[in-house]
Formats: sequence, structure tokens, C-alpha cells
Amino acid sequence: MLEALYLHIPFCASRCAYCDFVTQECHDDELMGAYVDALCLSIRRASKAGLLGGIKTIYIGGGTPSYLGPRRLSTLIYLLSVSIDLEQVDEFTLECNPDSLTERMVKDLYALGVDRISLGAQSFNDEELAQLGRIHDATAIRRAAEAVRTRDMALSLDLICGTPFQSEESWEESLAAALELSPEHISIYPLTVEDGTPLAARIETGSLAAPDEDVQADMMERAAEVIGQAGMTRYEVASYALPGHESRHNEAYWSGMPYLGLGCGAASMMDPETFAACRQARIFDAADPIASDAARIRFQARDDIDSYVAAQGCMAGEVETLSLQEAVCEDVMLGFRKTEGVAMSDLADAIEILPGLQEACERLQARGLIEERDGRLVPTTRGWLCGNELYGEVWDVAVQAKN
Amino acid sequence: MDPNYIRNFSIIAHIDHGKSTLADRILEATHTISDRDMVEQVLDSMDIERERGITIKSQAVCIFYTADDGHEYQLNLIDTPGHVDFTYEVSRSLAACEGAVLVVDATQGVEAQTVANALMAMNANLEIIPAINKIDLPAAEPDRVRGEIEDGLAIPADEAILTSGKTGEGVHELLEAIVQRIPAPHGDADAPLKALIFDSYFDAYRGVVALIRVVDGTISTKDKVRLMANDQVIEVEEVGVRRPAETAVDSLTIGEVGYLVTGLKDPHLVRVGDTVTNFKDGAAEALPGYREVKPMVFTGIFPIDADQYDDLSDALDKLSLNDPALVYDPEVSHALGFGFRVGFLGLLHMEVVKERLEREFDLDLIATAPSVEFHAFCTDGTECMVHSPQDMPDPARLEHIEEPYLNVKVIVPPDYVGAVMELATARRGIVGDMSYLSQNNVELHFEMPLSELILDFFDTLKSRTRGYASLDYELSEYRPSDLVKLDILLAGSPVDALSSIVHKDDAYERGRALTVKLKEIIPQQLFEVPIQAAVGGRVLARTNIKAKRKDVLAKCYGGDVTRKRKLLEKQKKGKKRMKSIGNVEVPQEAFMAILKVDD
Repeated sequence: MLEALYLHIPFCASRCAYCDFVTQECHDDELMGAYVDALCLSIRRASKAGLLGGIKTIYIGGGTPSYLGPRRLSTLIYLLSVSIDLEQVDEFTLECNPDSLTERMVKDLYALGVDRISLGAQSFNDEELAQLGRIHDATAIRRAAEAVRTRDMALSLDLICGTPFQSEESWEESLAAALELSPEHISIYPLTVEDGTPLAARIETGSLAAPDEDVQADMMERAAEVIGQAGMTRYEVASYALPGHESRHNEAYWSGMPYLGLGCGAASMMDPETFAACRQARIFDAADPIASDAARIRFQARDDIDSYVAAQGCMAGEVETLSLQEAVCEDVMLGFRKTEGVAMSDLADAIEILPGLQEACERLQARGLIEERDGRLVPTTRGWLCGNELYGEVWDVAVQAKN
Repeated sequence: MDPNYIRNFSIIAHIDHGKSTLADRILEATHTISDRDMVEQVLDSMDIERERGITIKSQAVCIFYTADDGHEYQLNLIDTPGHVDFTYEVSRSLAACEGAVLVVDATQGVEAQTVANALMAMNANLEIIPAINKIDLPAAEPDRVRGEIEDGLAIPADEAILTSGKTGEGVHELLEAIVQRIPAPHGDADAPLKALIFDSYFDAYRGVVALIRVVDGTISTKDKVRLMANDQVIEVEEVGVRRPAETAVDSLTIGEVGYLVTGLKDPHLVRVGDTVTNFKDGAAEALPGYREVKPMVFTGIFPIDADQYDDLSDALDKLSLNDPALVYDPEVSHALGFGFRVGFLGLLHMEVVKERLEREFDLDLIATAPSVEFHAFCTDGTECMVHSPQDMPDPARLEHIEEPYLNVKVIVPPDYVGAVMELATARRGIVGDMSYLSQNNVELHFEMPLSELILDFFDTLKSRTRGYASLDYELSEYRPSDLVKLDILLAGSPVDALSSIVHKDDAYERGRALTVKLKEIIPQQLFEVPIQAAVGGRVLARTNIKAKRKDVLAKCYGGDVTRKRKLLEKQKKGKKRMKSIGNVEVPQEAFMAILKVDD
């Protein structure tokens, strides 16, 4: 049963210097309208096929969903409300940019069932925001946060650390400013320079220094300290929450729960039966035969906005098939992103299926990347900071088993 | 064939002056190769040869050409290897010819290698026909180049022929010049057989096949003949010519060039430069110039994955069939496990062999820094050969050590003489005499240890002279040297595969440069890794690779999982190409770091 639904909105007022997400700068009302129509058709098909009956979390991300404006957002969420019993939904998040979130919009969203706003703050330093290509300033963040507080909604803030424009002091100030808004949830991302972005181009030409990993490590650790003091708990490598405010939707991604993603560039993960049903319902357009030993299917939508609109919301994309061994390995790998790690009993079950995990976990313990605590294997601080070593070693077990 | 209608020649050139393309046009113009079979650069048959634009193996092609005088001539084109590592092979190929076409690029003019090649051909008493090539290019300056040929090589300018390997222009004139100017071979058909082996290769079905040039007498199928250098007696299974497909003939006689199927299975028995003669009543004296080919450069070659040891062993067996100069013995390294100590003619030879092992046999290999053969004399009067730093006797037992010295010859334009002398001196060279070959070229002589030459000397020389210098060397003698073993310690433990033998005076500087370079090459690990250079337990230099603090892709939501997993797979794959020593992941290049430290 699908419990998590993701909707992708691939539009922004302007593209940020570091961004390589599936989104585009768009000032074409007609196109945005047509896209929302197509997305509604995707939702309708899924609903009619009976796939949305168990949805517990909804996340509308992007791009900038708030950039759609109140009218189109209302259309979309209203359509959702007739397709899904929103009373049964535990968490309904909308991703927003400070510049496009107004008090009016907050009131409409709340009325329609949205109960969590994820605000792309990134920094509270105006100079840094400008350098990152953000079109808002710190005042806009505060105004947007205030707007969220007019209703009983949870607030999550995203912050970026380790940019070339930042100093230790300015990071400290951004953290303090963020905590002043008493968010229920904070995500801390060290800047990743993605190929093909304006930022990467500046670094390549030498006009900008590449982010220093040591500085990023310091800033991540400092964030953990400061945010921890504010009573929030780090429950995933990049995520902090007040008790009970952990993002349930994101937890689905990290715990091997099935999810359905609709819209351009959206990703879905499910068992082969549900996948077949999605194909049957013309949500996915993929001819690939599914191997008999497939335990898990991941579908990555690949069409552009025009073809998605033309196909009336039937997504063309790539199918990835995971065997039971791979699925189990992926779950262990993702489990180590979380503070709670992996229960020894779950690990024992995984080892039954993929024996190599035993030795890999012993090696990782010896290397100080994970440790045993209260019947669970959990990541150490080093395991968080050098997560690629940890995840890479775990995933390699599945790669080895396959060869 | 009547030797009066035979012409044996080779084509020599500076690299990239269009030798192979011009050869292709000759083969086309004489219908030796049909258009259908024409691959660019027929003579360079190995992929690596085509890619690098160098010739590694000699080739011989028999061409029939009806000249303007109405006679049909047999032209034997003998293609020579084009690198200093193969100087001896070149000299034997040239010894099989009476003439040479010297190709000079019409836009570049006479360059150092042109001079070196021309001198080599002159020493072999060959008739030289200069061909000014690439005249189709807009930047061609044939008149200027003519002047350079006259001034620099003392060859009358009007002897040069203008050609284009691209359009085929001038190829007819060139063929006529070959017929008219290159002397017909002499020889005594009734004398005992004397045939020069100028190359050999291994055929899986027929065994070792030698390429030969008959000087005196006749060789026929079924003849019983003797290889004079090692008294090996064989019965000739077949003789023939390469057109370029092998075509059997009844016999080969004076002046003719062809192949000889020996039936031998061991390539080391057939040596380049050796003379073939009759078993009964053979020649009393061999042809001059034979030399035993000895490897000069040694390196350890190890599979990254220990499971590939047997594959590596098979691959070396196979390669050495076609490359008798390649020698190898098993070697065990504490750091790298089981592998081989392999001997090569020179650095290029080493690179080519390593590349072929990796490419043609799909092996992942680590090669250690090249070394030479040192002679160690111990206090107890024993003497041992040191091919690897690990073989170095304990300093307490060591009386003295000797290393091979070379006579080095560099030809370079006068502007670069200073740079070459500086480089030679920095490499422990003893500068000798210097002479002007022409206004544009100076020949410099110096003596230098071979161990210095193999440390990237050729490339450094090329870059300091903007590619103008040509290098030639020969082994002179072994001389005592104050040499020490420079050890490298990673995270406190010595790594045998990283040690090297260096001159005592250079130990500090080399050690320092090496630790700095290794710090660049070895990626950050989860823990701090000290790198130390030491001689006999005394640390000379030290650097630290700081521990890696952060390496994580923090964002990981629905669509990211697959993408990030692929990145992790790639990262892991890169790591698997590294060697884990202690707990330190060391990339392959680290073992060659000594070649990359700047002077």
C-alpha cells in the first residue's frame, strides 16, 4: 500500500546559482496552468485505480510550489482533497520560497489541509543570499515565517553551510536567526557544487574558491551543537526536529517504504504489483519487462514539461529493478543515515538474505563509522560526516553479491 | 631475381613528419595494397602504434614497380622503429638497406630527429633521398626546407623531391628516384649463405618467423641452416616475401628481403642482428654489428587484484613471444604481493608493454618506479645484481656499489645548449665535447648514469628544448657510485614498492620531493597518514596527509537514492583500483611518483 505521495512543481521565479534540480525559470501562466492540469490528471488516474487510499503523507516540492500562486495551488489541493481523504493524512507539506509565501496563501493552504511549510531560507545573510542567486532577503524569511505562524502549521527551515561566501561568524548568525523563529524542523545541507551550474562555472574559471570540506565539517558540527542546545534532535544526517516533528514523509524515503511521485522528474518506489497497477492506470509509461526476481521497482520520470502535458499526465521514464538482496542492502544503507540506525534484529534478518552485510558491518565498526547502542547499530559522528565511506561500503555488499 | 632490379630502402623521419602516410601512398601507387584493404597507416599494425604515431616493430613489404625505363623492379620497403629505446633495432634494419628516404615536413623543416636519423643512415652508408613532404599545406615552405637540408645535412638541395602523403603528389618522382639513385645490392651468389636477421615475430601456428635480408648465397625451403650467434641449427620450413600478405617462394637470393619460418618455438633463440648461414660449409664470419640485446630498465609489475596473478603470468608469456627483449622473473613485494620483475629496453618499451598488458589482456596493474641493474659488491667478496631496491644488501655488508653509465648524445639547436647542459648536470651528467653539425644544430656529448636517464629524462629534455632535442645513448661502463636506498614509510610502516636507489647527495632532495608528491597523489583517508622518507632508518623528510573530515552527500530524498547510489558505486570502483597498504588506500600513480617529481 502506498503511504507517501510526492508532487513535483518544476517552476521557479529564478534559478539559484547552485541548483541542478528539475525546475525552470518560468513566467508563462499558460504553461503553469497546463502543467497543473496534467498533474491533476495524474492524481485522478492514481485515485481511480485505488492507489491513493492509504496515503499518510503528502509532500509538494519543486522547484517552488508557492510560485504557482494561490489560484493554481488551490486548484491542485482541492483536486487532492477529492481524491484522497485528507483527514487520514498525517503530514501534508508544501515547499515554499520566502518571496512567494504570503499570509493570504497560508490561510488558503491551511484551510485546504496543508499542515507543514518547508521554507527555503538557506541563509540569513543578505550578501550570501544574493551570491547564491536567491531572490529573497532575510526580512522576507522572517515575514514568511510570521505568516506561517498565523495558523497552526509546522515550520521547517532549510539552511546551506560551507558556501564560499560564508564565514564562521555569519554561519553562527544564520543559525541563531533561524532558531529565533522557533521552527519545528531544520535541515542543514553542506553546499554541493553540481556540474553545469553557474556556481560550478565560477569555480572552474577560478574566480571562486571551491567549498572546503573541512570547513563544511566544522559548520555541520557547529550546527549540530547549536540546534541541539535549542532542544531539537538530529534524527538524520541533515535533519533536526523537535520531538514528534520528524518529517514522516522523508522517513519513508529512508526506511524502504513505498512512495509515489507524480510530475516531471518525480521518482517513485514500490513493489512490482503496485508498479504494474500504476502502469495499468497509465500513470507510468514504460514498456520494460519486470524480472521475476524483482523485489522493488524504482521509476524515474524523465519527460520534459511539454511532453508531460501532451501525455495528459502519463509519465515516461526509466525503470530500475532491485532484487531482494539489493532492496535489503538499500534499506540498511539508508538506515545508517538516521540516528536510530538499524536494529540488530532487522540487521539479522537482512544478513539472512545478504550474508556479506555481516562482515561489512564489522569492518565499519572497526573503522569507527558505526557503533552498537541499545541493541541497534547507529552511525557515529564520523559516520555522518564521512557518510559516503559508510554507505559506499554497505552498498558494495550488494554489488559484490550481484557479480 | 636479378639483384640489378632490386632496391632495398627504408623511410626515416622526425615524428609526425608524415612517414607512415607517405608509405601508404607508395603502397597504393604501386597497387601493393588494393584500395579495399587500405587502412590508414598500414605499416603500424598495432593499435598503440597508430594511436601514439610511433612504430614499435619493424616491418618489411615487397613492392613491384615498373619504372619509366620499362623494367620491373622489386622494391623492399623496410620500416624501422622510431624511438631511442629501439636504436639497435633501427641500426639492424638500416643495415638491411642500401638507401633511405628521409622525410622532412615542408612546414616544420629539419628537426633534431631528422638530423639524428640522417646521421644514422649516413653511418650505414645509405644513399639518402630527401623528400620534402606535406607540400599541400598552405604553410609549406619547400625552398626554406631545401636550404635547411643543404646547410644542416650537407645534402645538395636539388636532390630533394617534393611530396604530399595526402594527395599523392610527387610519389611517382620518389619511386623513380629510388630506382635511379639507390644502388642495387651487391653480393656473391656462389658464396656461402649470409642473411641478416633484422626482426622476428611469433606465429601461433608456425613458431618464430625471422625477417631476413640475404647478403650472399641463397636460402631455400628445406635447407639446413645455422644461426651463427648461438649455433642453433634449423631446417628451413618456408621462405617467402611479404606483399604484404606472406607469399611463399622457392628461395631467396642476394639482395632479397623476406621471411624465414624457423619452426622454433622459443623466440629468444632467434636474435635480431644475427647471421643465418649454411649448416654445412657455412660462412666463416658473421655479418658485423651483432649485439646481444639486454634489458636496461627494470620495474615490478603487480596485479591489483591478487587473483589476476596467473593471468598476468600468461599475458607476459604471450607478449614475450613477439618481444624477445622482454624478460621477467617472479617477484614478491610485502606491499603489493606476487608479481614480476620485468626488464625492458627503455621507458617507452616499458610503457608500451604495460599498456598492452592492461588493454589486450584486461588486467589492472601496478608498476613500480623503474630501476636499473646495479652491481653490489659485499665485504665478503661476493657480488650481486640489484634489479630492485629490495635486492639491495644490508649497508653493513656492502663494500661498494656500481651503476651503469651511458655515453649520451644530444642534438639540439644552439639556443638550447644551456638548458641541456643544466639538465645534464642536475642529473649527475659529466659534460664532454660539443660540436656544431651546422649553424642550426649542435651535438653535445656527456656521460650520465642510466638511473638518471630513466627518471623522465627524455620528456624533461623534450620540454626544456620545446621538442627540438634528439637523444641517443649507449651503455659505456659500470662505475662505483655513492648510492643509498631511499625508503618511504606510510603511516609509520616502510612500503617496499615505494623505495628507490638514489645517489647519496640527492637523497634529501628526492625524499622531500617524493613525500610532497605522494601527498598530492594519495587521497585523504579517514585517519591522518604521515609520509616519511628515510635512509637507513634516519628520516630525511616528512609530510602529513590530514584525515578526511567530511565526505557525504547530505541530501537524499526519493529521486536521489538511485543517483547517489551510482555515485557511491563509482567512488568505490575508483577505490578498488587502489592498493590497500596497511589501511592506506594508495592509487597506482603513487608507485610512479618518483618519475613525476619536478627537478
